[in-house]
Amino acid sequence: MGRVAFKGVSKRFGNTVAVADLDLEILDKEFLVLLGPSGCGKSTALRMIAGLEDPTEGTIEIGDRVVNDLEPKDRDIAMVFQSYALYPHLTVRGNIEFPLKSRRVPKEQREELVVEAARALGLEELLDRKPAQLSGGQRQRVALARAIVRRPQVFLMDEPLSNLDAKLRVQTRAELIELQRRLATTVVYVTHDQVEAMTMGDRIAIIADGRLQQVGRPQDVYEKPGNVFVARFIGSPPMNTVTGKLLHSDGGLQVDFSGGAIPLPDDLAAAVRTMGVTDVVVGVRPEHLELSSDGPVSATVTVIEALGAERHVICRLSDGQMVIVRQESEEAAPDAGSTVRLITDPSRLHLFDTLTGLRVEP
Amino acid sequence: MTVAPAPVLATPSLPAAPIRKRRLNRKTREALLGYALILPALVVFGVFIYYPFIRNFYLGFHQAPLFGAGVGKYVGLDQWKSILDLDTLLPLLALGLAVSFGVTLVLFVVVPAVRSMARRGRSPGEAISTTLRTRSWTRLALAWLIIAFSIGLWVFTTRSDTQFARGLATSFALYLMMLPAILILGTLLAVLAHRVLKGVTVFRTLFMMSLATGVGVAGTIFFTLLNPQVGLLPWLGLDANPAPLENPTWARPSVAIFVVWLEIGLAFIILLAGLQGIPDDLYEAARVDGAGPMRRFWQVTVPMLSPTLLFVFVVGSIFAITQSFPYVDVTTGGGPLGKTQTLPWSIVDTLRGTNPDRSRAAILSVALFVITLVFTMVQLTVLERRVHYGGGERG
Repeated sequence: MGRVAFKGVSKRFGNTVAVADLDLEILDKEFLVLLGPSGCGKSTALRMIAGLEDPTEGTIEIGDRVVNDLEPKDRDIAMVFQSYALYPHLTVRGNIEFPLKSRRVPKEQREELVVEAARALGLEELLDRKPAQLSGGQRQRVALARAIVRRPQVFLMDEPLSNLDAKLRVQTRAELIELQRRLATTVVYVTHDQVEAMTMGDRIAIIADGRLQQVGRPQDVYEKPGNVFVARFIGSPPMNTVTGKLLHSDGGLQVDFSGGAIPLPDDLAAAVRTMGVTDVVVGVRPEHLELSSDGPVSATVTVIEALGAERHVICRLSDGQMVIVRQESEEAAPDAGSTVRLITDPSRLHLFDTLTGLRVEP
Repeated sequence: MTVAPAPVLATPSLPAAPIRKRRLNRKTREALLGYALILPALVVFGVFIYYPFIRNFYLGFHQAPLFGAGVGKYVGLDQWKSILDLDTLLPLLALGLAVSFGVTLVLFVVVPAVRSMARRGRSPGEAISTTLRTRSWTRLALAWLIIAFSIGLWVFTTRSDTQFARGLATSFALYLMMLPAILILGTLLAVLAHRVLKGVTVFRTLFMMSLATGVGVAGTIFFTLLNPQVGLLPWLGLDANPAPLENPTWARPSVAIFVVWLEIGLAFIILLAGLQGIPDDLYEAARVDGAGPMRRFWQVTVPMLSPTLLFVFVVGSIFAITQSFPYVDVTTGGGPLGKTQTLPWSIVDTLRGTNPDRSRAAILSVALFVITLVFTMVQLTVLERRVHYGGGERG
């Protein structure tokens, strides 16, 4: 069974904490993405599953076994490296065969498995080439074939698409998902690219500074980011986050920006009161902001980015904070330098406590 | 972060520089500058290398005067014939070329063709034609030449009893003892030092120390070490009489050990650099793929290090064949019973004493040069191959 669990796992390199007190369970046959900026500890977490790093504290389980003391080869995993780590002196066949040879699989069976793996990734024609004679995309597929040939319980992938060009990356993304469905195995996939994470993961685990920020299905993470970091990290263009003052008026609660105030919905106002939050960061997705002549908040347009189907209007509030408005290209575009008024559906607002960064949830 | 339109800079238009008339055009000026720049090096090489080299041939065609400096009478090829024993050597080289043709054909054409027949089920004609097509002709020719040379010279050393043949035999014997030891020990030390990452600088210094020692000083130390009365051997309880350096059986191995001891540091440092160039993720991939330490050594380290090993092998070969004079001279002085008179040592020795034979030394030098040239040709093809090897894999 391809379940993986981190239980209170920490990893320190000297005084640097790479992973801090990680608790995470990856389900059998799940495609889980570890997402975070570079240096956040996501690769270290992956390498601890592989057994290439030993956790300083805590236990790691694969299936029903604690694997802390097992060698990488005994963990029933396969790994795809960012650099692919193909053996340059071996042919494609030799590379795919390597894990089987290491495990003394008999020759006839080996040949059968190699051909099968090569066929799954469309490499039959390239079996006698050396890695240096392959394109980036082909090498990537050889690395995948080498990983699947042994049928392990868990696949570990460390930014496997980051060395491909943009077009190939989109295509390979879809192929990888298809492959995972077909093989019905668990995949733990590390990336810093939130688009990859959103499109590929059954669930996403967002990590920053060695700490797990939030785990959830892509849509949940997108709709209900658990803290300011996740809010800013997921989404393209990112969520607008501006600091605002809470204004208590009779009966209701308003957030005041220096260009106008927006009243909060009742349930959110109640949550703010019960949590005793004093300062908030207000988040609103660019697609939930609109330009409207009777909007409550005024702003100045600085730059307009036309992307074809859509348009990003970058504005500044009167105190200098920047917000991005996403428009369909059919909508009328404002002029750069002009003053506009912004409006949003208050139920679309995300509120975060400035002190803790945590989401205020009604 | 402010986004503001950049002000358009007013660029004043500068008056065009006056066109100066030059006597020489650009190409000629650049060429002249190039020659001027290599001139100092050319002069130094010319005086100390090219002129003496050509002078060697000149000396070889003239008899050395019995006394004093100067050049004796012209004797043509006579001295070459007698000193190099050409009457024995040339037929053997011809024989070598013939035998080598067959060997090369079998090793590099027939064997691969048979293997491809077995593996891909090709017909014999098809297999041979594809093999021939994928072979590089220059490399085949080189292999042919090198094998021919090796066979010819080897038989020659057993058939001829000239100073040249004996020197050659001694040189090759020492070479065969030294080079495997340097490659194996160097790799071993480098792998060990590479694993102990924290103390790597300490090991590097330790193993490199002998390199910084002069051959003369090291020779004295070694001589004392092997002294039958006060040295290491009696301390170990071994009967070391006569001293290994004076014992006809042990003199050659002793000199070989001396050279390895003194020069292993260089092989070590080059191989260590090679090891450090192997990406870590290859080892990690091998670990995940289930390869144990031995398999990782043979399947990752050795193939990835092979360009470096080849480099050490080729440079070490040239070194071992051509540079043996000081090592022999400070330890055995060519003795006992002439057992350690290598070709380079013989050349220098011919020039010593009251009656130096400069013509003989010149002819032996030219012979040594030709032998070295063959090794250099291998080196060039090896270096060319290294370029093919590493590139491309890493993104």
